[in-house]
Amino acid sequence: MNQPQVEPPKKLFRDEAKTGSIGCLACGGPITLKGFGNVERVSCPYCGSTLEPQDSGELALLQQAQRQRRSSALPLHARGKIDEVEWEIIGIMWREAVVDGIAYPWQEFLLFNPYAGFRWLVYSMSDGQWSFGGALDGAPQLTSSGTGHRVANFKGRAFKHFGASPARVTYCEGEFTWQVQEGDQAHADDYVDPPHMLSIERSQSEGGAELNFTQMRYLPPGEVWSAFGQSGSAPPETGVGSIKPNPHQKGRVFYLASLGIFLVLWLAATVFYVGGRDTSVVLDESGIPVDVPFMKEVEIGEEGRAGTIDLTFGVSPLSNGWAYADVLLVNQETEEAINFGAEVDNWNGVADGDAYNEGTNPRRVKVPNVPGGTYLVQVTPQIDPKTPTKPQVMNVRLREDIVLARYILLPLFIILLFPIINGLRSLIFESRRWQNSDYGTSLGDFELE
Amino acid sequence: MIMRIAYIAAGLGTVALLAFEAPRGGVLMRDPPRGQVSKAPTKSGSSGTRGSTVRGYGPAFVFLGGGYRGGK
Repeated sequence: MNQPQVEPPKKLFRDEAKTGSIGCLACGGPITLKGFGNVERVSCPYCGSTLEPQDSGELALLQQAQRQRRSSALPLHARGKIDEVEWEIIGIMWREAVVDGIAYPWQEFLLFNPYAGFRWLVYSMSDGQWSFGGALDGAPQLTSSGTGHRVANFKGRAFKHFGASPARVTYCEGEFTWQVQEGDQAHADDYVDPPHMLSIERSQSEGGAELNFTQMRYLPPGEVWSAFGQSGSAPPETGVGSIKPNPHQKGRVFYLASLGIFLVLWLAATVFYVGGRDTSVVLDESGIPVDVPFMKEVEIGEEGRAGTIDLTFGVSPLSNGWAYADVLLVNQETEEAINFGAEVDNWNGVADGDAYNEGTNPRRVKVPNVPGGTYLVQVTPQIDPKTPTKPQVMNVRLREDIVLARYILLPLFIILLFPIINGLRSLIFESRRWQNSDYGTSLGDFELE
Repeated sequence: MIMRIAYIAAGLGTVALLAFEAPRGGVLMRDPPRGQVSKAPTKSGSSGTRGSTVRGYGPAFVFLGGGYRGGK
C-alpha cells in the first residue's frame, strides 16, 4: 500500500543570514541585505531588477530590468541618528501623486534598526518638507467636524483631512518589507494636526484590500541633514508644507498674555492721567474789536508744574477771507514768552453749479509744556485785506490743563498692533498651508487652534 | 524674539509716556518758539498801560524769538 507523501514541515526561519554581499543575478552588482528575515523584496540599486530573498539566503530573480539609477536626497545605506536611535537607510522608494495633471513626487526612505525596527523618512520634492514616522499602533476613528471636514481621531489628537490622492511607485532600490515593484498603486488619505500627520493607505493585493496606517511628524531639513552627516545645506523648503509648524502660533500665548497686562496698565494710566487733569477756562472774551491788540493777565497752572493749554480764536463775520492771531504768553516773573499763531478762514461760493462753504473758524491751538505762573496774554489780530466783508470782532478763549487724546490713543494702538499683526501672519501662514490641500484657498476652510 | 522684545519695549514706553509725560505734553507735540520780549515803541508820547487795550496803540510786547527757553 502506498503511503501518501508527507511534505516536510516548512522552515519557520531561514538558514543563518549571510553577512557578505550577494551579487545581483541580472547585473552582478553587489547587494548587502540589512533587513534580515523581514525583507520580502529587494530592488537592485544598480539595474532596478526585482529579486526575492529565498530561505537559503540566496536571491531569486523575479523581474530583470535595465534602468538608470536615480539620485535620491539621501544615499542608500546612509546612517543617521534620529530620536537617539541610529537608523540605516535600507530601501528608497519614489512615489508620486498626479492631481489635475500635475505630478507631486516624494521620496520615502525605509529606515532600519535591529532593536527599534522599521521607520519611514519621507522627503516631499514639491515643497522640501521632511517627515519621520512609522506604522500606527492601532486604528484611528474617523468622524466629521462641525465644518464638514473629515477628522481622524487617534490617542487624543484630531487630525483634519488634508488631501486624498492615488500614489504610484515610480522607482525603488534596496530592501522592502513587502512585495513592492514599480507601478504599484495605493490610494492615500492624509490627515494633519501640525506638526503631525496621519496617513491611511488603501491598496489592492491578491489577498484583497489592504489598509496601512502611518503616523509622521515634521522634521526640520537641517536636522535631517546633520543627523545623516550630509555636507552642505539641506534642500530648502518652499512654501508651507502640510505639517510645517506655524511659527506665529507659538507666540500667540505670549501676545495674548502681554495684551492683557498692557491693557490693564493702559487703563490705569489713562484713569490716572484723565482723573488728574483739572481742565478749566482761564480766559473767555468775546466781542473784542479787531482794530487793536488784546491783552489780559491770567493765572495758568501751578507754580513748578508744566501743563498743556489750548487757545480758541475766532473772528466774526468772516467770508471769503482769513484772519490770523499772533499770540504771546509772557511770563510775568521771568519775562520769557511763548509765541504761537492761530489762523481762521472761510471760503464760500458756487462752483460748477454746486455751492460750497469751507474753512475753519474758530480754530483751536494746543500749546504744550507751559510752566505754571502769571501770564500776560497778548493777541494781535491780522485781517485779510482782500476780504469783502471785514471782520469786526474776535473771540478768545484759553483753557488750562487739558487732556490730549493722542497720549491715550498711541499706547492703545501699539498694544493692539503687535497681536493683530501676529494673528494676521498666523492666518496667512495657515492659508498658504491649506492652499495645497484638497480644500482650496478659502480662509473659512480651516480654523486657528 | 525681536518682535516680542519690540512689543514689550514699545508697549511699556508708550504707557509710561501716558502716565508721566502726558500732563506736560512735550513729547508728542511741537513746542512753539520761546524767547525774550521787549516793549514795543508806542505811536504817541504816552507809554500805554500794560494790560489795557487802548485804541490806536500797537502791541505792548514784541517777540524777539529764540534764545533762552523759559522755565526756572
